[in-house]
Amino acid sequence: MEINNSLSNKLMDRTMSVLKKALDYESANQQIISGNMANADTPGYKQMNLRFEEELQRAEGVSGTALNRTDSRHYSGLSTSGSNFTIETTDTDEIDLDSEMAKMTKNNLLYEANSRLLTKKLLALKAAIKGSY
Amino acid sequence: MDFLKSMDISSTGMSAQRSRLNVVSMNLANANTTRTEDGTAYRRKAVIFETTPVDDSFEAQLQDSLDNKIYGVKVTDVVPVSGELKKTYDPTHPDADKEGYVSYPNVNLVEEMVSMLNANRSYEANASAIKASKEMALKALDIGR
Repeated sequence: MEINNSLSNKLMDRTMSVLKKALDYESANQQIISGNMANADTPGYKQMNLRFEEELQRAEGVSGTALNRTDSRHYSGLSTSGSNFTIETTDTDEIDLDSEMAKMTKNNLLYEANSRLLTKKLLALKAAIKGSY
Repeated sequence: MDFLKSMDISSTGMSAQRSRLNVVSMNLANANTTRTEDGTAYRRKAVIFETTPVDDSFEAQLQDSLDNKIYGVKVTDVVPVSGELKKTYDPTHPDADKEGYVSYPNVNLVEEMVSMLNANRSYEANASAIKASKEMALKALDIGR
């Protein structure tokens, strides 16, 4: 039992769950942004944004931390319970295509970064299992 | 400084140039309009660009961080340009005034075309800035690959 727990802790540790949440957030964000751009001319459509619930938690003082912090401004990690992001509908009718494109570019870069981090993590595990790189 | 902040800044530049182009199109379309809502001839419009802080979250203001000094651009106003309107003598025109002169807009087609080209080039420049920023970020991800 103990061996199983420590093994699953090493394999599926906090890094991977944080990265998983980040990747989920970024794929959801991609959909929201594409929705905004596709509906730029639709009458009555209001711009939508995706928000981390973690920001609200931090504002309210509720801690869902999974990582240790030495400073309160450090990234506190994501709680792994439930869905962390909410879709916020703003009041803006006019969708600014340029800023949506910039958001999409940033989102893609973050997705790329997170997926490479995940790859590196899995490569490290593989090296540990195989005994060589 | 957030390395992705440059994309927000450039996107404000692109939006501003887009608005500028809209105003240029309006000027060109109304180059011969002698009657507007208030009865006078159309007067050429110009955009006012103003710097706007990119990160105006409360936290940034509080920390007085370097991000506080970074500005994007915003179109704050579309104002009519003062100056003499072109007057032509034509008593048969329905919009002629008491002396028989018709006022035409002070729109100079050549100036508007140049303004349009400038807006175009600025838009491209901002798009290149976003592309450069993206490439830098991708190169950073290649470290240790």
